Parts: sequence; C-alpha cells; structure tokens
Amino acid sequence: MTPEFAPYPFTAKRYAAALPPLRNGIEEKHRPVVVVGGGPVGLTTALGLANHGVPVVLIEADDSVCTGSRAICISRRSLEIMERVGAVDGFKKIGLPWTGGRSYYRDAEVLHFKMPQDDNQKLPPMVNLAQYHIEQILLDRAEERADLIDIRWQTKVTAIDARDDGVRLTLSTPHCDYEITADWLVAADGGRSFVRESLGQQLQGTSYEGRYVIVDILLDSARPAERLAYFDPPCNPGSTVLVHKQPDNVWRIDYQLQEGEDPEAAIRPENVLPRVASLLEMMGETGAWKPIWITLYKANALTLERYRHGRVMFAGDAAHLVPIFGVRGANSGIDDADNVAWKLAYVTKGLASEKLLDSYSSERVAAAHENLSYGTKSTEFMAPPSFAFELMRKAVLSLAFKHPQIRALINPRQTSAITYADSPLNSASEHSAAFAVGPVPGAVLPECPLVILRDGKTHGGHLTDLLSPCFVLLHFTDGSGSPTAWAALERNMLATAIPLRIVTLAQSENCGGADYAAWDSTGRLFPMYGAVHGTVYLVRPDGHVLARWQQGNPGEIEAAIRRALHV
Amino acid sequence: MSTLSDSDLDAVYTDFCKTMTKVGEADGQQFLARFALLAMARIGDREVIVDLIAAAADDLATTNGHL
Repeated sequence: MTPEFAPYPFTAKRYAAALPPLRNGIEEKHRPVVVVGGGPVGLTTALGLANHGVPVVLIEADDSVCTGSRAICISRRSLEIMERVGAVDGFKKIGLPWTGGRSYYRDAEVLHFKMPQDDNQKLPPMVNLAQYHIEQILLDRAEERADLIDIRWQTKVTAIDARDDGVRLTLSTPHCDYEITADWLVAADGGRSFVRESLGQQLQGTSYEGRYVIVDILLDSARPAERLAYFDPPCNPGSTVLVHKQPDNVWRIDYQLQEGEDPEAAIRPENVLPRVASLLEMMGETGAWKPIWITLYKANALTLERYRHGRVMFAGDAAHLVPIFGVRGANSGIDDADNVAWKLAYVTKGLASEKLLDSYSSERVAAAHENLSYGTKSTEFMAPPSFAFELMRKAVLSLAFKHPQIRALINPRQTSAITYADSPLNSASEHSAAFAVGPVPGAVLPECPLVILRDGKTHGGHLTDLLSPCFVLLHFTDGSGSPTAWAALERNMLATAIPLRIVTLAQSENCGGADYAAWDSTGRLFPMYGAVHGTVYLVRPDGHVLARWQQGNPGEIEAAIRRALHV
Repeated sequence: MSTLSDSDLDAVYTDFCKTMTKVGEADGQQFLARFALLAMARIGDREVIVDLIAAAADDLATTNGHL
C-alpha cells in the first residue's frame, strides 16, 4: 500500500524566462552587480542593493521559489534586516513567533530554555515559517522594486570568466544562451555553488557521520510553537527527535538515525511513518495527519577561507555550510547579504574604495567561525561523533533533572546577533573603552522603546526604527545646546555624497529643536547605552556600531567614516 | 558554590569528550576512573566526595537502558 502524501499548503507562482536586449549574443547593458541565486540570501542581497539605489540583475535557475523542508527559523537579527529591506511585514503576518523550548530525556523534562526576550524588544527572538514562505515574501518585495531588481528566471550560469576588472557570465535559458558582463558578482548559489566550483574554491572543515531524517507532516494541533527536543524518547528509544511547529498546520520533525541503519531504507515511508505515528502518540497528538515530505540530512561544518575573490563575493551556503542545530544556516546567510549589500553599493557608487569589500570577507569569515563553533557544539550533542560524546551525553541527560547546573550543556545554543569585534572598520577603540556598558564597535544595537518626533509629529517606536540605509549618528542630549554643529557635519558629508543621518536622542521631551529626534520615554535607553549629555554612537548602514564617544565631536566622526570607507 | 560558568562548563565538557575520544573506547573506562581519582584528590573533602559518589550512582539502575 502506498501511503497518501499531502501537498504543501502553498502554491508557488511560476515565472517565465525573459531575455534582455542582446547584441551578438551579449546583453547590451553592462551591469554594476549580478547576483547568482534566488534563495533567501540572493534575494536579500538584491533588496539590500536596491535599498541603496543600486540596480541589480538576479539569476535564478528555477521557475519559482523552492519547495521542501529547508530553513524554518528566522531570528530576531534576521527580522531586523528584513525590516530595513521593507519585507518584515510578511514575516510578521505568516511566521509563528516563539521564545523558548523544552528538552526531554525519556519521559522527564530536563531543560526549559528561553531566548532573550523582554519588553524592550520590538521583534520576537524567533519566528517559524517555511523557506518557500521566506522566499515568496522576499520575492514579492523584490517585485515592488522592479525598477532596480531585474530577476531572470529559468536562467542557469554555465560559465564564468572572472577578471580583475569585472566578470563575464555565460547564461543558458529555454530560449537561447547569452552572455552578461558586470563589475561585481555575488555568488549566492547555495551549497553546491557552481560559481564556487568554477573558481576552483573548496569548502573546508568537518563533515559529520550522524544522519537525521527530516519529515514534514500536516497536522492540526493547538500546541504552541516552541522547540521540542526528545532524547531517547519512549516512542523511539535510542534516538533524538526535534519537533517544530510551522504555519498552516505543517510540523517539521527531525530524528536521528541509529548507528548501522541504512540511510536509503530509513527514508522509505514504510520506515518513517510508524516512527512519526509513535512520536505523535507519545506527544498526545491524536488528530489525523499526513506526511508531506521526507528527506535525509547530514551535518556539515564547512567554510571557504575567504569570501572575496577579486570581483566575486561568496555569500550564504555558497560560502559556508553550518549545521542545522542552532538554526544558523539561513540566518547567517541573511547576515552575509546585509553586510555585502551596503559595501558593494558604496563601492559601485564610488563612495568607498573597493578595499571596503575585504572587510566583508574578514567580518563574515569571523562570523562563520563563531557560527561553526556553536553549530559544532550543538551537533556534537545532537549527533554525538564518538563513543565518548555519546557516553557523556547520556550522563548529562540522566543528571540534568536533579542537577540544574548540568542543564546548560543541553541548551541548543540558538543563533544570536554576531559582534564584529575585530573588524578593520571599527574606530576609536580608546573612546569605546571608556564605556562601562552599551554596544561596542562591531556590535548591533540593543533594542529599546522610545518616542519618535519627526517633522512635528510624535509616535511610539523603537531605537532600530531610526536606522536607514546610510551612516546614522545617534546623538544623546539632555535637550540643552544647539544641534547646529551636527547640522554642519551632515552638510559636509552630503557635499561628498556620503549621506549621514543625525538623530537626536533626548532625555526629556525637550529635544533642543532637532528635526529628527527621539525621546527616552522609558528612561532605559541612556543607562543601556552608558550615555550622558554629548555621547555619540556612529552606526553603519547595516546597523552595527562603527565607533562611540562619551563626548563626540564632528571631526572625529567624519574621520571614522572616511577611514571605514578608505576615502 | 561552583565558580564554573556555563561557557566554562561547556568548554571543559568538550575538551573532556575529545580527550576521551583520543584515548579510545578500549581505555575509556580507565580514563574515567583516573579522572575520578584525580578529582577526588583535588576536591579534598571527604563529605563532598561521598555525596558525589551517591549522586553519580543515583538512578543508574533505571538509566541503564538505551543510548
């Protein structure tokens, strides 16, 4: 008997291949940037570039968004990035927010973890949604930016000529083949990146032997969204099982194959479905269910040594493969996109030297190593790579119930925002060292509610609402003094075409007459940032702190920006 | 009482597992026994050690199944 599979409760739009105007088989127009790969990373990169007004051609081999079970968890940091590219509404509308999870050993709960969440936050620490949702949301937003984003569906890259001054790609479409030339290429073409292979680059690191079966099922259940981990559960003794709720009654189940199990046989429905049935029975889920999708997963912890190769930037899975445990795959790729987009934009617009792009590589390679180190630790727990890890894990799980201090070892080390502590862009470290608290150069901004005053109107908001696709100066004040010195700085930077937005952050409703200001209405912002009257935080277009001064002056600020951009 | 932070515990746990992996399965028990003896000598408090022996043995009859 063939078991009945349900389709995903999602219908992907199909997109036709389109050809640009050609001359002798070459696209007439030379392009500043081509992005290869229409997944979450490629689409976010394109949206980021468009945010800075840079036109981009995006090449995608398929005719629609992806199918199947891939990335399912989007972090707060990724949502902040989505907000800046104008796509966060879709995530809020479709995604299921969650804040923590539970781990069980046999039938006892041994860990209840919470991700950072308090009433300073604007966005949840995590939302669950399927990758086809993620891509469709980004795609819908990209279509709104059709003035700048040109998507080429059903188009495959078949050859790459990467030179010192640009790239030439050979593209294959159902209509004909053609060539396209560009100044810069972003390779976001996934784990089996054709661009990476063409350039002779190889991922390095560790591949793990332990395998997981990934199953999506359709099940109507009121159970809340949280991460559930079952170690050695009564329903599947000896195995480890993860359960995540997704939108539209889709449930994602990951379970570990036992040693010696044949992977080919293990993914046959007749072997998968009884395990799912006994899991649901153990969970007390009595509703009818159907399988949607079954696949096999093997953890990898791999990265390229460098993400910039001349005119080619690697991003997402094309640059690194991070184990799924800790949900750092898509989230780190979205971070890559956010980082590379503003830097490429500044370089193509002539506002920065191309040296700025080396910092994309150094910052994101360092981030990958951090992600890989956490991901590796999670994998060593979720899929023990030796008898020793397995023996010790059993000790941890069996002691955790009675010995709370052991429980931290079970924590899944979920993704969190990464600080570029050693970034070559960071400035004025001696001034930063004078702060006892607050985000250091390279860190992202901790969130805080405040009241925003703009053009005579007042509304409640959050600190990250003040960011925009340019350098932003957060100027803390008690309301006394005049903003004229800062206005002169703003004009100076504008004269060099480097936009700088200055926002006054006031301790009281009196914002000293600034056009764009916010009021620390909760009284939490100043202490959180270690700020006093005159304190300044200089923030990059991707929301990371570039430098901070307890008492800032315009000359130092201008110098920090110029130093970062190498101009 | 413990001055070991979560991340310290994490780091020494991984170090311990990796070292035991290198020692090999055949000598794994001997490795654990030696570590236990060294820990006893370093802890240097008879009552604490007696407590730890009891805690380590506790429930083992029921946790002796799978994994």
